[in-house]
Amino acid sequence: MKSTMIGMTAAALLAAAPVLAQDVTPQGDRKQDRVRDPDAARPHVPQQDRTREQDATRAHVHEALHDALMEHAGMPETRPAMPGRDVARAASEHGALVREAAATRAAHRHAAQHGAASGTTGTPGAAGPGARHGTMSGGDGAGAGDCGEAAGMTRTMEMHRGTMGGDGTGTGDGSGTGGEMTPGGGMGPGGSTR
Amino acid sequence: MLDLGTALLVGLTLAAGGAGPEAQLLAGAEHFRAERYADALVAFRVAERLGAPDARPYAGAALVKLGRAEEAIEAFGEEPAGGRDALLDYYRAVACHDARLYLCADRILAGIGDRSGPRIAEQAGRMRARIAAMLANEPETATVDWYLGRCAALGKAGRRVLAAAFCRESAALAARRGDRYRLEEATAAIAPLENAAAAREVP
Repeated sequence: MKSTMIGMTAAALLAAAPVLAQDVTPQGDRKQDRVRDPDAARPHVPQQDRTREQDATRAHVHEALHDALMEHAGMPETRPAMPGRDVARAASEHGALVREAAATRAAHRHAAQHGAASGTTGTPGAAGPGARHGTMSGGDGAGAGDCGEAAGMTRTMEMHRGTMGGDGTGTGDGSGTGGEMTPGGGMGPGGSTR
Repeated sequence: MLDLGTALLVGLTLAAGGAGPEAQLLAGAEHFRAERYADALVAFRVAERLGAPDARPYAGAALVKLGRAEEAIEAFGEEPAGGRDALLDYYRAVACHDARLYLCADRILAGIGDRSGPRIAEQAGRMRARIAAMLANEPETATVDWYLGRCAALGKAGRRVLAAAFCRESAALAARRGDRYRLEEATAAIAPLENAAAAREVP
C-alpha cells in the first residue's frame, strides 16, 4: 500500500516536470534546479559575473529607452489657454445672442406697429416723405417720420456684430436723414423706424 | 487606468510568455523610436506586469505621445519629492501641460533645471515663458470653478491621483487671485484625495 503511494507520487512528479520524465538519471536533480531557476541554466557563471551582466543589460535597456524618448521629446502642440475663459466667453456670447434676438423681436414689433420697414440695402439718408411714421430703408438707417424709439435697439444689435450702425434723425414733419454706416457693418432687421 | 484594447494586448502578450521585462522594455523603446506609440505602450505595460516597476513612467511617455494626457498623469503617479530622470520629468510636464494643468507643468519644468541637456532645457524654458505669459493676468473665477469642477468629477469617478492634481491646480490659481476665490475649498479637497491615492498605491 505504502509503496503504491510512493510510486504514484513519483509518477505525478514526473508528469508535472516533463524534462525530468525524459531523464531519470542522477542528473535529474540538477535539471530540476534549472527548471526552478532559469539563471541556474548557466551553471558556470559565478554570481559576481552574473550581476555584472545584469547591470550591463539594464544599462543597455536604459540607454535605448533614453535615446527613444529623447528623439521624440517635442514641445506641446497646443498653446496654453485657461479653460474657464472659454466658458466665460461662451456664456457672454450666448448672452449677446439672447439680447440680439430680443432686440430683433422688439424692432419687428415696432416696425409692424408704426409702418413698413425694409431691412435690406442701405440707401443713404433720403428725405422722408412726410408721413407720420414713414418708411425707411435698410441698414444705414435712412428714414423719415417721427418714430425714433427703435433706433437704440438697432444700434444694440449692430454693436454685437462688431460695428456701429448709424442712427437716423427724424423730425416731426416727417423729414429725416440717415445715419452713417461704418464699413463691414451688419444690417439691422427692420432698421430704425423714424 | 488601462483601456480595453491595451489591456487585451497586454494579456495576450503575457500569455504568449517568453520574453522577460528587459526584453519588453527594449521592444517598447524600439516601438517608441519608430513612433508606434500604441505598441510601445503595450510593451511597457507588459514589462511592468513582469516585474519592472520602472516601466510605468515610460508607459506615461507613450500615453503623452498618444494624446492621452490625463491617463499619462496617472501612469506617472504622484510627483516624487526629489525628481528623477530629467527626460521623464519633461514628459510628465508635457502631460500636465496637455491636460491644462499649467502650474503643475511649470513646477516640474522649474525642477528640471540643469539636470537635462541643452535641448530639453531650451524647450522647458520656452514652455515656461508661454505659461508665464498666459498667467500674467489674474485668473478668472470661471477658471477656478472649472478646475474645481473637474476635480470633483474625477474624484467621484475614483481617479484620485488626477483629481488631486486638478484640485492642486485650482488652489494654486485661487491663490493668485486677490480675493482668494474658493481657495479654502480647493485646499481642503486635496488632502483626502492624496491620502486615498497613496493608500491605493500601497500593496
